[in-house]
Amino acid sequence: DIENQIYQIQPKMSPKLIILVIILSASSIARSFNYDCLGNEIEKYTLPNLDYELDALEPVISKTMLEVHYNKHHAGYVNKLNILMKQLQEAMINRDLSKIVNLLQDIQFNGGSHINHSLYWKNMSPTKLGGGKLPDPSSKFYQHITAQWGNFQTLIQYITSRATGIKGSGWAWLAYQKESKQIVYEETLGQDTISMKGNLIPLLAIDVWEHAYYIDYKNLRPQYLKQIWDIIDWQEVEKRYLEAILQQLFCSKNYLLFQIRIRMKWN
Amino acid sequence: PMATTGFHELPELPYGYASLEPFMDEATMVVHHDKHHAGYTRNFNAALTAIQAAGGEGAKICTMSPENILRQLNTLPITPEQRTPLRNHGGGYWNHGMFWSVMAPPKERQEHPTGHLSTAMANTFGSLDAFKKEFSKVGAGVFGSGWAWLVAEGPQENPTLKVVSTANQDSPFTVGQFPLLVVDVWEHAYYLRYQNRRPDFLEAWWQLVNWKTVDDRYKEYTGKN
Repeated sequence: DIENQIYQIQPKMSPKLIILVIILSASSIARSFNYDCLGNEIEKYTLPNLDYELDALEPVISKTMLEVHYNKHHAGYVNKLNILMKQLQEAMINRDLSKIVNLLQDIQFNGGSHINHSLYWKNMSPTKLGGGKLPDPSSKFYQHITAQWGNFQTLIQYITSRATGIKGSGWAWLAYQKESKQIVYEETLGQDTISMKGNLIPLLAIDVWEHAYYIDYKNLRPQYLKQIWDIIDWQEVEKRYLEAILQQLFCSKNYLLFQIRIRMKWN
Repeated sequence: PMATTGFHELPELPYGYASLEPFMDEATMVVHHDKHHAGYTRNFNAALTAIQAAGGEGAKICTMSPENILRQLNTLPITPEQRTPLRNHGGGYWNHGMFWSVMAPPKERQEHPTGHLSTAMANTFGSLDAFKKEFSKVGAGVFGSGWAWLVAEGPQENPTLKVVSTANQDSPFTVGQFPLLVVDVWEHAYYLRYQNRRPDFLEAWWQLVNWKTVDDRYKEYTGKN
């Protein structure tokens, strides 16, 4: 029956989109092998590589500020996470429940931070590599945004004003709500992840902890939020959106197998 | 532009911007006081102005001291929308004022607690060093933005001393505690010189603590001289 549903949908998908989906699914499967929940020695969490040089996001984010944020903060969270995961592994082997419970709070913080920062670096890009460029108006993502928000300017202004108002340390998000299939604005505090807030898939992450802007902007968070749109990589946001809807349609990793089977059946 | 005077004034720093060097840099003091604290002052005054304009029961809180506003925060005759800015900006206004007052230029400060406070601290924490270790640990452990405090709680004649932390601009007054010592661990308090090294900041900060203020506050709480 599921196959019939897919068959109904199938003819509407262009070959280009199918290829994109296959690549995305394959990469999603490959990525999942890096994440060992116990953090074994051979598979430690690592700082993700940036797709750009440390000075590439200037003048929005200076080389100094990016260096400190990436090489000191994010690296620090990753190092701490690896230590904690090793301790968790030992505690689980020893069945030390008190220790496990204690560790989980710190893991939530450092692990959440690793997840959030990894998304943040990836959804920024130097202007010469497409940063700040809105998606193509014919794309499904562009159309979804305009259908829901009117236009990108309205969306950007909304995120900016809400993110300015986040009290203390936190993150501003665009996320895909799985039940309603809407693109929603969300906030998390501290290093909470977007998935902790519900059935949400992160599309765009903006760090509003003071360390994300203090060196360049001091207390002027509104200025940071005004400038950051020049380096937001909407292509990456779009890619996450496509992945989200396709994941929903085809139960993620199994999609590749479904596609192969259906192709073989029809031929 | 909203005033840093009005119901409450932005207090002047009790020392020069550069006098806390090398432990706290001049640039941080300038931005922290003239921008952050000033901002909280303005927003606190604006919130009170709005409450006064709205009239009714709520208006009389405009003559209350910030401490009392924070003490009675959850029972004031105001709406939740009126309460939130008092919590954030009233808290920010008062917390920063206390923060300046517990510090002094390294060579001008009183370096240890004395008298009754000293006894109480020895009884509670064992030693001053043990206390500092606990306090620094709590300060370093605050997730995100907040404050670490030494507070007094309970009966005047025999208070309990505790090390606690609060998030964002929350005040111990609101939960019935009396602040004796405080450190700001929002990133803006240390970022320019220490970046992510909050533990290093806390270690340096001890060189600035003026225990005279803490002694005086303990005397205020216990009524004992």
